[in-house]
Amino acid sequence: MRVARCSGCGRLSFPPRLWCPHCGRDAWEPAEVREGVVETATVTRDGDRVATVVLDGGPPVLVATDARPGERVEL
Amino acid sequence: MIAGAGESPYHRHPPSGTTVETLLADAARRALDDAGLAPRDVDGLAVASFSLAPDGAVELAWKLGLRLRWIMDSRLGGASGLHMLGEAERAVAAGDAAVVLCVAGDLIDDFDAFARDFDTLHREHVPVRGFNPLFALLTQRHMRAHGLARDDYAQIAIAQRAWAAENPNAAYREPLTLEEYLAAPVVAEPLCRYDCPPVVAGADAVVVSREGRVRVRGLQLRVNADQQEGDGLATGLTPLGTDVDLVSVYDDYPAMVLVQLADLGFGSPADVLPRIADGTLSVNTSGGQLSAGQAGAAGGMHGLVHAARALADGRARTALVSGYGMAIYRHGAASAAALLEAA
Repeated sequence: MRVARCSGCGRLSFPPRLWCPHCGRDAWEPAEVREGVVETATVTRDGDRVATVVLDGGPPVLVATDARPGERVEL
Repeated sequence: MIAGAGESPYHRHPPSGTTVETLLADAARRALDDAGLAPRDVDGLAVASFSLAPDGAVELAWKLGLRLRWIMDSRLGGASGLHMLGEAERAVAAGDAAVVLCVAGDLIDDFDAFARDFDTLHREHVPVRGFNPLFALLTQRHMRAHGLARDDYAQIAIAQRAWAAENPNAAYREPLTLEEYLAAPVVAEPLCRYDCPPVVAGADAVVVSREGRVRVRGLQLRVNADQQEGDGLATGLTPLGTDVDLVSVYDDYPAMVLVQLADLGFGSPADVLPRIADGTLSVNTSGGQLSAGQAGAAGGMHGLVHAARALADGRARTALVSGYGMAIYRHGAASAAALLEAA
Protein backbone atom coordinates (compact mmCIF):
# COMPACT_ATOMS: atom_id res chain seq x y z
CA MET A 1 0.00 0.00 0.00
CA ARG A 2 1.34 3.38 -1.06
CA VAL A 3 1.34 6.00 1.71
CA ALA A 4 3.23 9.25 2.28
CA ARG A 5 6.25 9.79 4.54
CA CYS A 6 6.90 13.29 5.87
CA SER A 7 10.35 14.50 4.85
CA GLY A 8 10.46 16.58 8.03
CA CYS A 9 9.63 14.15 10.83
CA GLY A 10 9.47 10.82 9.03
CA ARG A 11 5.92 10.01 10.19
CA LEU A 12 3.63 8.13 7.80
CA SER A 13 0.33 9.64 6.71
CA PHE A 14 -2.70 8.35 4.84
CA PRO A 15 -4.81 9.55 3.08
CA PRO A 16 -2.39 12.02 1.49
CA ARG A 17 -2.26 15.53 2.95
CA LEU A 18 -0.67 18.86 2.09
CA TRP A 19 0.97 19.66 5.43
CA CYS A 20 2.18 17.18 8.05
CA PRO A 21 -0.18 17.13 11.07
CA HIS A 22 2.80 16.44 13.34
CA CYS A 23 5.53 18.86 12.22
CA GLY A 24 3.82 21.17 9.73
CA ARG A 25 6.22 20.52 6.82
CA ASP A 26 4.92 20.25 3.26
CA ALA A 27 7.42 17.83 1.72
CA TRP A 28 6.48 14.18 1.30
CA GLU A 29 8.08 11.10 -0.16
CA PRO A 30 6.23 7.95 -1.23
CA ALA A 31 6.51 5.00 1.16
CA GLU A 32 5.37 1.40 0.78
CA VAL A 33 3.70 -0.33 3.75
CA ARG A 34 3.38 -4.07 3.24
CA GLU A 35 1.49 -5.19 6.34
CA GLY A 36 -0.73 -4.11 9.17
CA VAL A 37 -2.88 -5.56 11.94
CA VAL A 38 -6.67 -5.63 11.79
CA GLU A 39 -8.04 -3.72 14.77
CA THR A 40 -11.78 -3.93 14.02
CA ALA A 41 -13.76 -5.36 11.11
CA THR A 42 -17.37 -5.29 10.02
CA VAL A 43 -19.64 -6.67 7.33
CA THR A 44 -22.71 -4.79 6.12
CA ARG A 45 -26.12 -6.24 5.28
CA ASP A 46 -25.09 -5.94 1.61
CA GLY A 47 -22.02 -8.10 2.25
CA ASP A 48 -19.51 -5.25 2.01
CA ARG A 49 -16.51 -5.77 4.27
CA VAL A 50 -14.28 -3.10 5.75
CA ALA A 51 -11.70 -3.10 8.51
CA THR A 52 -9.60 -0.68 10.48
CA VAL A 53 -6.00 -1.73 9.88
CA VAL A 54 -3.15 -0.26 11.91
CA LEU A 55 -0.26 0.10 9.51
CA ASP A 56 3.19 -1.03 10.66
CA GLY A 57 4.74 2.22 11.86
CA GLY A 58 1.79 4.25 10.64
CA PRO A 59 -1.77 5.44 11.29
CA PRO A 60 -5.00 3.41 11.29
CA VAL A 61 -6.53 3.18 7.82
CA LEU A 62 -9.66 1.70 6.24
CA VAL A 63 -9.15 -1.42 4.14
CA ALA A 64 -11.66 -3.66 2.34
CA THR A 65 -10.67 -7.10 3.62
CA ASP A 66 -12.17 -10.36 4.93
CA ALA A 67 -9.56 -10.57 7.70
CA ARG A 68 -10.69 -10.65 11.34
CA PRO A 69 -9.55 -8.51 14.29
CA GLY A 70 -6.09 -9.45 15.53
CA GLU A 71 -5.01 -10.89 12.17
CA ARG A 72 -2.01 -9.55 10.30
CA VAL A 73 -2.84 -8.68 6.70
CA GLU A 74 -0.80 -8.00 3.60
CA LEU A 75 -1.72 -4.75 1.93
CA MET B 1 -29.91 35.32 22.64
CA ILE B 2 -32.24 32.91 20.92
CA ALA B 3 -35.47 34.72 20.10
CA GLY B 4 -37.25 31.93 18.24
CA ALA B 5 -36.93 28.35 17.06
CA GLY B 6 -38.75 26.26 14.49
CA GLU B 7 -38.71 22.94 12.71
CA SER B 8 -40.32 21.95 9.41
CA PRO B 9 -42.24 18.68 9.20
CA TYR B 10 -39.79 15.78 8.98
CA HIS B 11 -40.71 13.55 6.02
CA ARG B 12 -39.55 9.99 5.43
CA HIS B 13 -41.16 10.39 1.98
CA PRO B 14 -41.50 14.09 1.15
CA PRO B 15 -44.75 15.04 -0.62
CA SER B 16 -44.36 16.00 -4.28
CA GLY B 17 -43.36 19.63 -4.70
CA THR B 18 -41.16 19.52 -1.59
CA THR B 19 -37.64 20.80 -2.19
CA VAL B 20 -34.77 21.57 0.16
CA GLU B 21 -35.64 25.24 -0.37
CA THR B 22 -39.28 24.84 0.68
CA LEU B 23 -38.14 22.95 3.78
CA LEU B 24 -35.57 25.63 4.72
CA ALA B 25 -38.16 28.37 4.13
CA ASP B 26 -40.73 26.49 6.22
CA ALA B 27 -38.39 26.14 9.22
CA ALA B 28 -37.26 29.77 8.83
CA ARG B 29 -40.85 31.04 8.80
CA ARG B 30 -41.70 29.02 11.91
CA ALA B 31 -38.65 30.37 13.78
CA LEU B 32 -39.52 33.97 12.78
CA ASP B 33 -43.16 33.47 13.80
CA ASP B 34 -41.97 32.05 17.13
CA ALA B 35 -39.84 35.18 17.61
CA GLY B 36 -42.69 37.48 16.58
CA LEU B 37 -40.54 38.84 13.74
CA ALA B 38 -41.04 39.32 9.99
CA PRO B 39 -38.65 38.78 7.07
CA ARG B 40 -38.01 42.54 6.88
CA ASP B 41 -36.54 42.40 10.40
CA VAL B 42 -33.80 39.94 9.35
CA ASP B 43 -30.41 41.45 8.52
CA GLY B 44 -28.20 38.39 9.00
CA LEU B 45 -28.42 34.87 7.52
CA ALA B 46 -26.51 31.65 8.24
CA VAL B 47 -27.20 28.52 6.18
CA ALA B 48 -26.10 24.88 6.43
CA SER B 49 -27.27 22.41 3.78
CA PHE B 50 -25.54 19.81 1.64
CA SER B 51 -28.37 19.40 -0.86
CA LEU B 52 -28.89 23.13 -1.45
CA ALA B 53 -25.73 23.05 -3.64
CA PRO B 54 -24.89 24.57 -6.02
CA ASP B 55 -26.84 27.29 -4.22
CA GLY B 56 -25.75 28.67 -0.88
CA ALA B 57 -26.70 31.40 1.55
CA VAL B 58 -26.68 34.20 -1.04
CA GLU B 59 -29.08 32.46 -3.42
CA LEU B 60 -31.34 31.51 -0.49
CA ALA B 61 -31.23 35.11 0.77
CA TRP B 62 -32.38 36.34 -2.64
CA LYS B 63 -35.13 33.76 -2.91
CA LEU B 64 -36.34 34.74 0.58
CA GLY B 65 -36.13 38.44 -0.36
CA LEU B 66 -33.81 39.25 2.55
CA ARG B 67 -31.64 42.38 2.64
CA LEU B 68 -28.57 41.58 4.73
CA ARG B 69 -25.48 43.10 6.25
CA TRP B 70 -24.11 39.78 7.58
CA ILE B 71 -24.10 36.30 5.98
CA MET B 72 -22.33 32.95 6.27
CA ASP B 73 -22.41 29.41 4.91
CA SER B 74 -21.51 26.60 7.30
CA ARG B 75 -20.39 23.20 6.04
CA LEU B 76 -19.82 21.44 9.34
CA GLY B 77 -22.66 18.91 9.11
CA GLY B 78 -23.73 17.90 12.60
CA ALA B 79 -21.67 20.72 14.11
CA SER B 80 -23.18 23.38 11.81
CA GLY B 81 -26.09 24.31 14.06
CA LEU B 82 -23.91 25.35 16.97
CA HIS B 83 -21.24 26.78 14.66
CA MET B 84 -23.86 29.14 13.21
CA LEU B 85 -25.30 29.91 16.65
CA GLY B 86 -21.87 30.96 17.90
CA GLU B 87 -21.10 33.14 14.90
CA ALA B 88 -24.57 34.71 15.02
CA GLU B 89 -24.19 35.49 18.74
CA ARG B 90 -20.89 37.24 18.03
CA ALA B 91 -22.32 39.15 15.05
CA VAL B 92 -25.18 40.45 17.19
CA ALA B 93 -22.86 41.27 20.12
CA ALA B 94 -20.54 43.18 17.76
CA GLY B 95 -23.44 45.11 16.23
CA ASP B 96 -22.83 43.65 12.77
CA ALA B 97 -26.42 42.40 12.64
CA ALA B 98 -29.56 42.87 14.74
CA VAL B 99 -31.51 39.74 13.78
CA VAL B 100 -29.74 36.66 12.41
CA LEU B 101 -31.73 33.79 10.94
CA CYS B 102 -29.83 30.48 11.21
CA VAL B 103 -31.26 27.64 9.14
CA ALA B 104 -30.16 24.10 8.38
CA GLY B 105 -31.84 21.39 6.36
CA ASP B 106 -31.61 18.80 3.65
CA LEU B 107 -33.54 16.68 1.21
CA ILE B 108 -31.24 13.87 0.10
CA ASP B 109 -32.75 11.62 -2.61
CA ASP B 110 -29.93 9.10 -2.94
CA PHE B 111 -28.09 8.67 0.35
CA ASP B 112 -25.50 6.23 -1.06
CA ALA B 113 -24.53 8.77 -3.73
CA PHE B 114 -24.47 11.54 -1.09
CA ALA B 115 -22.05 9.54 1.06
CA ARG B 116 -19.85 8.54 -1.90
CA ASP B 117 -19.53 12.13 -3.09
CA PHE B 118 -19.38 13.61 0.42
CA ASP B 119 -15.83 14.83 -0.18
CA THR B 120 -12.61 13.86 -1.94
CA LEU B 121 -11.63 11.57 0.94
CA HIS B 122 -14.78 9.48 0.54
CA ARG B 123 -14.49 9.44 -3.24
CA GLU B 124 -10.89 8.29 -3.24
CA HIS B 125 -10.08 6.63 0.09
CA VAL B 126 -13.13 5.23 1.91
CA PRO B 127 -13.51 1.65 0.57
CA VAL B 128 -17.12 1.07 1.68
CA ARG B 129 -20.56 2.57 1.07
CA GLY B 130 -22.09 4.98 3.55
CA PHE B 131 -21.27 6.07 7.07
CA ASN B 132 -22.81 3.15 8.99
CA PRO B 133 -19.81 0.79 8.55
CA LEU B 134 -17.43 3.51 9.81
CA PHE B 135 -19.44 3.86 13.01
CA ALA B 136 -19.78 0.09 13.28
CA LEU B 137 -15.98 0.00 13.58
CA LEU B 138 -16.04 2.90 16.08
CA THR B 139 -18.77 1.17 18.13
CA GLN B 140 -16.65 -2.01 18.28
CA ARG B 141 -13.80 0.06 19.74
CA HIS B 142 -16.22 1.66 22.20
CA MET B 143 -17.58 -1.75 23.29
CA ARG B 144 -14.05 -3.00 23.87
CA ALA B 145 -12.93 0.16 25.72
CA HIS B 146 -15.88 0.15 28.12
CA GLY B 147 -16.90 -3.51 28.25
CA LEU B 148 -20.32 -2.78 26.74
CA ALA B 149 -22.71 -5.10 24.93
CA ARG B 150 -25.54 -4.50 22.46
CA ASP B 151 -28.18 -4.31 25.21
CA ASP B 152 -26.29 -1.34 26.72
CA TYR B 153 -26.68 0.65 23.50
CA ALA B 154 -30.30 -0.52 23.35
CA GLN B 155 -31.00 1.51 26.51
CA ILE B 156 -30.33 4.70 24.55
CA ALA B 157 -32.54 3.75 21.59
CA ILE B 158 -35.34 2.63 23.95
CA ALA B 159 -35.18 5.72 26.20
CA GLN B 160 -35.14 8.10 23.23
CA ARG B 161 -38.07 6.27 21.64
CA ALA B 162 -40.03 6.77 24.86
CA TRP B 163 -39.33 10.52 24.65
CA ALA B 164 -40.38 10.52 20.97
CA ALA B 165 -43.96 9.73 21.98
CA GLU B 166 -44.18 13.40 23.02
CA ASN B 167 -42.80 14.71 19.69
CA PRO B 168 -45.50 14.71 16.97
CA ASN B 169 -42.81 15.41 14.35
CA ALA B 170 -40.80 12.23 15.11
CA ALA B 171 -40.57 9.57 12.40
CA TYR B 172 -40.98 6.76 14.98
CA ARG B 173 -43.10 7.23 18.12
CA GLU B 174 -44.18 3.73 19.13
CA PRO B 175 -42.41 2.29 22.20
CA LEU B 176 -39.36 0.13 21.40
CA THR B 177 -38.67 -3.00 23.45
CA LEU B 178 -35.33 -4.66 24.13
CA GLU B 179 -36.58 -7.76 22.30
CA GLU B 180 -37.43 -5.70 19.18
CA TYR B 181 -34.05 -3.96 19.33
CA LEU B 182 -32.11 -7.23 19.61
CA ALA B 183 -34.18 -8.88 16.84
CA ALA B 184 -33.79 -5.97 14.39
CA PRO B 185 -31.87 -6.53 11.15
CA VAL B 186 -28.13 -5.94 11.37
CA VAL B 187 -26.96 -2.95 9.29
CA ALA B 188 -23.22 -3.35 9.88
CA GLU B 189 -22.02 -5.56 12.75
CA PRO B 190 -22.68 -4.60 15.61
CA LEU B 191 -25.11 -1.86 14.52
CA CYS B 192 -28.74 -2.78 13.99
CA ARG B 193 -31.53 -0.78 12.39
CA TYR B 194 -32.34 1.01 15.67
CA ASP B 195 -28.74 2.22 16.10
CA CYS B 196 -28.95 4.17 12.83
CA PRO B 197 -31.10 7.28 12.43
CA PRO B 198 -33.74 7.04 9.68
CA VAL B 199 -33.04 9.45 6.83
CA VAL B 200 -35.71 12.12 6.59
CA ALA B 201 -36.11 15.39 4.71
CA GLY B 202 -36.53 18.45 6.89
CA ALA B 203 -35.10 21.66 8.27
CA ASP B 204 -34.57 23.47 11.57
CA ALA B 205 -34.04 27.15 12.30
CA VAL B 206 -33.33 29.57 15.13
CA VAL B 207 -33.41 33.36 15.27
CA VAL B 208 -30.62 35.11 17.17
CA SER B 209 -30.97 38.71 18.35
CA ARG B 210 -30.18 40.99 21.28
CA GLU B 211 -33.56 40.17 22.86
CA GLY B 212 -34.82 36.65 23.38
CA ARG B 213 -36.04 33.92 25.69
CA VAL B 214 -32.88 31.81 25.76
CA ARG B 215 -29.42 32.99 26.74
CA VAL B 216 -26.29 31.33 25.33
CA ARG B 217 -23.95 30.88 28.30
CA GLY B 218 -21.02 29.03 26.75
CA LEU B 219 -19.89 27.85 23.35
CA GLN B 220 -17.21 25.52 22.08
CA LEU B 221 -16.05 24.38 18.65
CA ARG B 222 -13.44 21.77 17.80
CA VAL B 223 -12.14 20.67 14.38
CA ASN B 224 -9.67 17.85 13.72
CA ALA B 225 -9.18 17.15 17.42
CA ASP B 226 -7.46 13.83 16.65
CA GLN B 227 -6.49 14.31 12.98
CA GLN B 228 -8.41 11.05 12.16
CA GLU B 229 -5.52 9.14 13.72
CA GLY B 230 -7.10 8.37 17.12
CA ASP B 231 -9.78 5.87 18.12
CA GLY B 232 -12.65 8.33 17.55
CA LEU B 233 -13.83 7.79 21.14
CA ALA B 234 -13.33 11.46 22.01
CA THR B 235 -14.63 14.56 20.26
CA GLY B 236 -12.27 17.15 21.78
CA LEU B 237 -15.19 18.78 23.64
CA THR B 238 -14.72 19.59 27.34
CA PRO B 239 -17.29 20.23 30.09
CA LEU B 240 -19.32 23.47 29.88
CA GLY B 241 -21.54 22.61 32.86
CA THR B 242 -23.35 19.46 33.95
CA ASP B 243 -25.96 20.86 36.36
CA VAL B 244 -28.58 21.11 33.62
CA ASP B 245 -32.21 20.07 33.22
CA LEU B 246 -31.79 18.49 29.83
CA VAL B 247 -29.10 17.40 27.43
CA SER B 248 -29.24 17.18 23.63
CA VAL B 249 -26.24 15.38 22.18
CA TYR B 250 -25.74 14.47 18.54
CA ASP B 251 -27.06 10.93 18.21
CA ASP B 252 -26.01 9.65 14.84
CA TYR B 253 -25.24 6.43 16.75
CA PRO B 254 -25.69 5.41 20.43
CA ALA B 255 -21.92 5.07 20.98
CA MET B 256 -21.51 8.74 20.03
CA VAL B 257 -24.15 9.72 22.60
CA LEU B 258 -22.00 8.08 25.28
CA VAL B 259 -18.78 9.58 23.88
CA GLN B 260 -20.19 13.13 23.98
CA LEU B 261 -21.70 12.67 27.45
CA ALA B 262 -18.30 11.51 28.74
CA ASP B 263 -16.44 14.38 27.03
CA LEU B 264 -18.92 16.92 28.42
CA GLY B 265 -18.42 15.67 31.98
CA PHE B 266 -21.63 13.71 32.55
CA GLY B 267 -19.70 10.54 33.34
CA SER B 268 -18.61 7.22 31.91
CA PRO B 269 -21.05 4.91 30.14
CA ALA B 270 -21.42 2.94 33.38
CA ASP B 271 -22.42 6.17 35.16
CA VAL B 272 -24.84 7.56 32.60
CA LEU B 273 -26.57 4.49 31.14
CA PRO B 274 -28.66 3.75 34.27
CA ARG B 275 -29.59 7.45 34.51
CA ILE B 276 -30.66 7.53 30.85
CA ALA B 277 -32.68 4.34 31.31
CA ASP B 278 -34.54 5.58 34.41
CA GLY B 279 -35.02 9.10 33.04
CA THR B 280 -33.07 10.95 35.74
CA LEU B 281 -30.75 12.22 32.98
CA SER B 282 -32.98 13.71 30.27
CA VAL B 283 -31.08 13.06 27.04
CA ASN B 284 -32.48 13.86 23.59
CA THR B 285 -36.03 14.50 24.73
CA SER B 286 -37.27 15.06 21.16
CA GLY B 287 -36.53 11.39 20.59
CA GLY B 288 -33.29 12.50 18.99
CA GLN B 289 -32.36 11.68 15.45
CA LEU B 290 -32.65 7.96 16.26
CA SER B 291 -36.44 8.40 16.56
CA ALA B 292 -37.20 11.78 14.97
CA GLY B 293 -34.99 11.16 11.93
CA GLN B 294 -31.82 12.65 10.49
CA ALA B 295 -32.45 15.49 8.03
CA GLY B 296 -28.86 15.94 6.86
CA ALA B 297 -27.40 19.19 8.17
CA ALA B 298 -30.60 19.83 10.15
CA GLY B 299 -29.42 17.06 12.47
CA GLY B 300 -26.95 19.53 13.91
CA MET B 301 -29.72 21.98 14.75
CA HIS B 302 -32.47 19.55 15.76
CA GLY B 303 -31.31 19.24 19.38
CA LEU B 304 -30.78 23.01 19.65
CA VAL B 305 -34.32 23.76 18.43
CA HIS B 306 -35.90 21.30 20.86
CA ALA B 307 -33.78 22.50 23.80
CA ALA B 308 -34.53 26.16 22.98
CA ARG B 309 -38.28 25.40 22.87
CA ALA B 310 -38.13 23.61 26.23
CA LEU B 311 -36.35 26.59 27.79
CA ALA B 312 -38.71 29.13 26.21
CA ASP B 313 -41.77 27.13 27.36
CA GLY B 314 -40.52 26.85 30.93
CA ARG B 315 -40.11 23.06 30.75
CA ALA B 316 -36.43 23.48 31.64
CA ARG B 317 -34.18 26.22 33.03
CA THR B 318 -30.86 25.04 31.62
CA ALA B 319 -29.73 22.79 28.79
CA LEU B 320 -26.51 21.48 27.31
CA VAL B 321 -26.49 20.91 23.55
CA SER B 322 -23.74 19.34 21.49
CA GLY B 323 -23.18 18.67 17.81
CA TYR B 324 -20.85 16.32 15.99
CA GLY B 325 -20.24 15.62 12.36
CA MET B 326 -18.15 15.54 9.22
CA ALA B 327 -17.01 11.91 9.12
CA ILE B 328 -14.41 12.86 6.53
CA TYR B 329 -12.49 9.58 6.75
CA ARG B 330 -12.86 7.31 9.80
CA HIS B 331 -15.05 9.38 12.15
CA GLY B 332 -16.33 12.90 12.81
CA ALA B 333 -13.89 15.77 12.40
CA ALA B 334 -16.03 18.54 13.91
CA SER B 335 -17.86 19.00 17.18
CA ALA B 336 -19.47 21.84 19.07
CA ALA B 337 -21.32 22.46 22.32
CA ALA B 338 -23.41 25.20 23.90
CA LEU B 339 -24.74 25.82 27.39
CA LEU B 340 -28.20 27.42 27.28
CA GLU B 341 -30.27 29.09 29.99
CA ALA B 342 -33.83 30.40 30.05
CA ALA B 343 -33.76 34.22 30.09
